Amino acid sequence: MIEISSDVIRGYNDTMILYILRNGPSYGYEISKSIKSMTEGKYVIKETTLYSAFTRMEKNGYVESFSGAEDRRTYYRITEAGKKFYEEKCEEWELTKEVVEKFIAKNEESVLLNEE
Amino acid sequence: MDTIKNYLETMFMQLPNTREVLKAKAELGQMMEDKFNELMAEGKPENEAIATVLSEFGNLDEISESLGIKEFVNKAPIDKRVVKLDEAREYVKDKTAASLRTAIGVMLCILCPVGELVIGENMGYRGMGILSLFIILAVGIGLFIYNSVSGEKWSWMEKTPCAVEFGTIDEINKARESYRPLKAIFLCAGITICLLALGIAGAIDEMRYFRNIDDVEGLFFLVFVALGVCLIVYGAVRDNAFTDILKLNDSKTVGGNFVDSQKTAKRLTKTGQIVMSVFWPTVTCIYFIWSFVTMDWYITWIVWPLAPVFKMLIEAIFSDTNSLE
Repeated sequence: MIEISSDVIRGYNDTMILYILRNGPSYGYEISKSIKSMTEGKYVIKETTLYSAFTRMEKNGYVESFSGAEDRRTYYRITEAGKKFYEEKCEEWELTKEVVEKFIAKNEESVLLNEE
Repeated sequence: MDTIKNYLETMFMQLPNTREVLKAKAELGQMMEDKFNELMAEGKPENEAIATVLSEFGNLDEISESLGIKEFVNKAPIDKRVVKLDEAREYVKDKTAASLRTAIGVMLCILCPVGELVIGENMGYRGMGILSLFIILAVGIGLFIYNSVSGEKWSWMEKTPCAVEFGTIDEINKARESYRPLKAIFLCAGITICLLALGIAGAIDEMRYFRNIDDVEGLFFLVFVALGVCLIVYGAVRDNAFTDILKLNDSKTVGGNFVDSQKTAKRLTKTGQIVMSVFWPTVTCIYFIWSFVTMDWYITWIVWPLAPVFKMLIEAIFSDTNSLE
């Protein structure tokens, strides 16, 4: 089975996290669970990846952390800068996708090539 | 869940004991716990849940930069000798036995004039009395010597930098916790007996039965003090068997963060180490010189309970406040 390339996905972990945080504050496991269910289990984010994304984005001012009222968990919420960053990343992805797409052989083409 | 906890603790053992690192450990631990609990709630078998959590944990490399621990993560797995669980257990066993010998040795040193009092003073056999004094002394000192010789076996622990794994720390720490009430009993009993010594000895002196014995008060006083000091010494010294192991990990790393005592553990300067190495022999010398010069055996035992106080004082003076090692 083909697995997702960690090199490619690395640049978009932040995008996924910010997308989820746009719907309201959340914490580590809940976010990783959302990512898993939204991708139907095709992408499972590692705990350390998630944590390094949190600290990096907090340093850049894209998210803020706060302690939960009832539990010991650290919650994160998106900031205005984070929302702006998210929009930029979306545009970046559209462009990236458009460019890479041009080089991806479609099914019928590859079949054609194989026959030749 | 223990497996997961051990895994996380082991991963963080050698990392510096900073706020960022502890925060990362706490949050990663929480995520793993959440995931584990959910997998269990879904009805997965425990070992499968553990395997999933561990395989999805990732790599500390990833967070090393944000934690400022890059040099620690990439550092070759330590230039330290890892003390294995078996060794740690054996150390505790050896040191427990040694602390009993120390306690009995101290007791015999205090008790040595008793033979002289009974045989010499009361029965009139002066020579025999003095002889018994030296025999008891010899046995006591023999125990000290035996301890220092047999202790050589573990001298590498002080000479080479050592580290302990989480599993070992955890077990030794639990053993220490379960010893804690016993230690309290030893110390309380010892102190009580010492305090009561004078009273009990006085009361015994009043009793008619002992009237014909000379200086029975001093005799019983010594016996009770010896017993009390023995209990105090045993209770206190035995605890070192555990803390010696627990102190092996650098207090600046997460691994050195398991025991409270570690936080206040004193590191001695070179001078301090030299002073401490001759501390107990010096105490013994002072005791005998004072005792034999003045022959005031009834009071010279005070050296023993006072010695630990001076030990703490010396350790405080020579503690290395900026030890970067």
